[in-house]
Amino acid sequence: MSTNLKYIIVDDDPFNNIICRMIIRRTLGEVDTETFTIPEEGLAFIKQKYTTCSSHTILFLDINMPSLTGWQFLERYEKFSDKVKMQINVYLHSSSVNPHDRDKAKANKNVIGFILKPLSSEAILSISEKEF
Amino acid sequence: MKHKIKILHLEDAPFDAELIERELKKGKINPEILVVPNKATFIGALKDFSYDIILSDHSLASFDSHEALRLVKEAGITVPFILVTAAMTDEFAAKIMKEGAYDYILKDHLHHLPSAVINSIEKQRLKALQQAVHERLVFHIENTPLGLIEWDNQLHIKSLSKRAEEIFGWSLKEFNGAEKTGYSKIYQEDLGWISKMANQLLTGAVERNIVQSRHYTRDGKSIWCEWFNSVLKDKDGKVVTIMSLVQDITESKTFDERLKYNDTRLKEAQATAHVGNWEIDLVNNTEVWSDEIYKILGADEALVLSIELFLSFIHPDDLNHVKRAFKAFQNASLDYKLLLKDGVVKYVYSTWGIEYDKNKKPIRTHGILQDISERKLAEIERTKMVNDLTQRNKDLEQFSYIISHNLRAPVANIIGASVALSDSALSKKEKEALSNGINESARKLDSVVNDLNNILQVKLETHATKEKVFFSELVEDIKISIKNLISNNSVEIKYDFTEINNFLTLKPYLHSIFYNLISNSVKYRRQQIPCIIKIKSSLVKNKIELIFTDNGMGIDLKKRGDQVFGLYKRFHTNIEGKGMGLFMVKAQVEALGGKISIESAENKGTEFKIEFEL
Repeated sequence: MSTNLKYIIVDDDPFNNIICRMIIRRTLGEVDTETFTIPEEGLAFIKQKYTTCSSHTILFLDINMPSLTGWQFLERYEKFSDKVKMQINVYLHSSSVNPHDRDKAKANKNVIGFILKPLSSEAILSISEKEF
Repeated sequence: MKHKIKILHLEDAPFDAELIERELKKGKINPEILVVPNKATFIGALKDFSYDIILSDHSLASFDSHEALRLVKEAGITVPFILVTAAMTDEFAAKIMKEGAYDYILKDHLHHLPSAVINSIEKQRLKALQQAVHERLVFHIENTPLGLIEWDNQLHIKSLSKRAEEIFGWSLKEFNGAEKTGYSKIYQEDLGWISKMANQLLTGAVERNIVQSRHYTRDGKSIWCEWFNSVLKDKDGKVVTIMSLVQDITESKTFDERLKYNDTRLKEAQATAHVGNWEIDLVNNTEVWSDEIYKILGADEALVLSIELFLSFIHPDDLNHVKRAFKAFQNASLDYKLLLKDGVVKYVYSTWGIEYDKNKKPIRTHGILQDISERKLAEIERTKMVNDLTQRNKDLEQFSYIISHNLRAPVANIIGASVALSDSALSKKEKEALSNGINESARKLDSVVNDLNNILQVKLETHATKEKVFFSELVEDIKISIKNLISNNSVEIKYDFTEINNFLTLKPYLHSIFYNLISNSVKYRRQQIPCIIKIKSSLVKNKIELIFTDNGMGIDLKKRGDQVFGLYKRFHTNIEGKGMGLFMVKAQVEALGGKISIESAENKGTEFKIEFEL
């Protein structure tokens, strides 16, 4: 388990972000975690940070957001350079039970998996194992 | 020149026989006479009979001239029979003549005998000749298909040829028996006009006529007959006889009738199935278009149809592809539309075939035209219904996913938070944040359930009482209820309801629609400029159109157009909102039977158009 593993959470629900931070900390200890309630800010952060430095990151992305949906977020993310995308593994993180969303997630090559809310320690551990 | 005549002479007095022979020879006769004196020799002579004439005395010892004449008739001998006797009464003479004797001569006047013999032989020759002519005539009549009937002026049948008997099966006796006239043998329906025709003949109005009529035969069948009738008048011009030649034409008539019947049936079938047919003889340049085609085209019967004219009935949308199919000169079938002269559009199905001669040259083309409008319109209606239902189903599915998502989001937070709470390492501040979060999530959950209630309410309340709602009052009410919002910000609401100011509807719905649209415009105004909201009503055909225009932030419809009216769809992170307003507006507009649409551009403004059927 690498210590420089990072988490980015993009979700318009601040409470969800608080919970995610706590579950991650509780499962992995202190980990570098960034949260964004405005997806555009998340994109700007990734673009700025990951073109210059290198660090392995897991991104939890909500689908239903007012200004930019998860899917629209992914459209913009797709345009980033491979160098950026290679460093980030995107997981959709939603309370949606619509199979259409799961199918769409599967079909997107930039999405690794779909995690149903709420985030649990088990989910984090299983992702971490897969990552390394 | 003397006539050689062979004579059989019945005479029992040899002296008289000699006297008679001498008298005959005195006349211009060369007789060859066999004298027989009694019955036995007379009968013997009648066998192998070869005489030209018979002379007979009246009373002989064994029998007399009556019996002799009877024997002659019985033997089928037709030569003249002359009585030569001593004396007789006038009564006797009349009687013997009636029985068939040609003449009688008294023995006192034997000098009359030669001329009587010659005259009788001549008379018999003429009679035989006449008989032969008559027999030939009868033979002819009886061997034609025509029956011959002769009527008297009371329409009793006087005579009936064999063929006529065969046609009807009734004998002369049966014809005139119980019924007296031939009328009862006439088919009921024809009775009236036939008696009229017969009267015209009887009164002399016409001399002859030709009639086709139906009759009953003896075995109960009804037959068709053709009659050639003509009248015979006496010298005073009075009709005495009607002569009729009659022919059984049942077979050809039945054939005609069947043709007519089949034709009628074909027409009926075409009308029922809405199918017309046409054929074009390309060699003789003749065209046939059935009645039903005229009906389908709504064309006047007087119109002479042709391919060119027919094409003029085809809907412009389809004209080119029908023309192309036609010019290909191949068997084809296709559906297309007609545009009738009165503007009616019909859907038709057409199929046609081409016949070729042995040189592969087209000689005949024929086809059908079927009016399938009913089926086609039902099909279109059905497709529309299926599409509507499919859309509704999709909407409902979407709705249930959205609801479940929005129920699950706070539930997930509560679960997640309660798990996080069990971490003993949490600081007091963190615990407080979690507890507040759980509280807020529970409220959200409650509010989603409330929303759900409100949404379902929209579908239930459409049966509530409608009332006349004045648009201007509605806007003024809303202005008061959001007075603070308006006065704190620079907001101006202008309206123009001069064209139509009221609508019979459910007031709470219309209020909610106006309220949501107005408050949305205020909420999503541009901060830099004064907010101007314009509302205008107009009457377009039989619809009320309400247009809400603002100069606010607007929405990029290219990006999110499909989600504007979606439940819990929000477009601005920085402004309070649940994503319920426009969803409710649309649900309520639709519950009132209306439609809503949106035009918008970012940083320019938004226009909502609502249409209600009046």
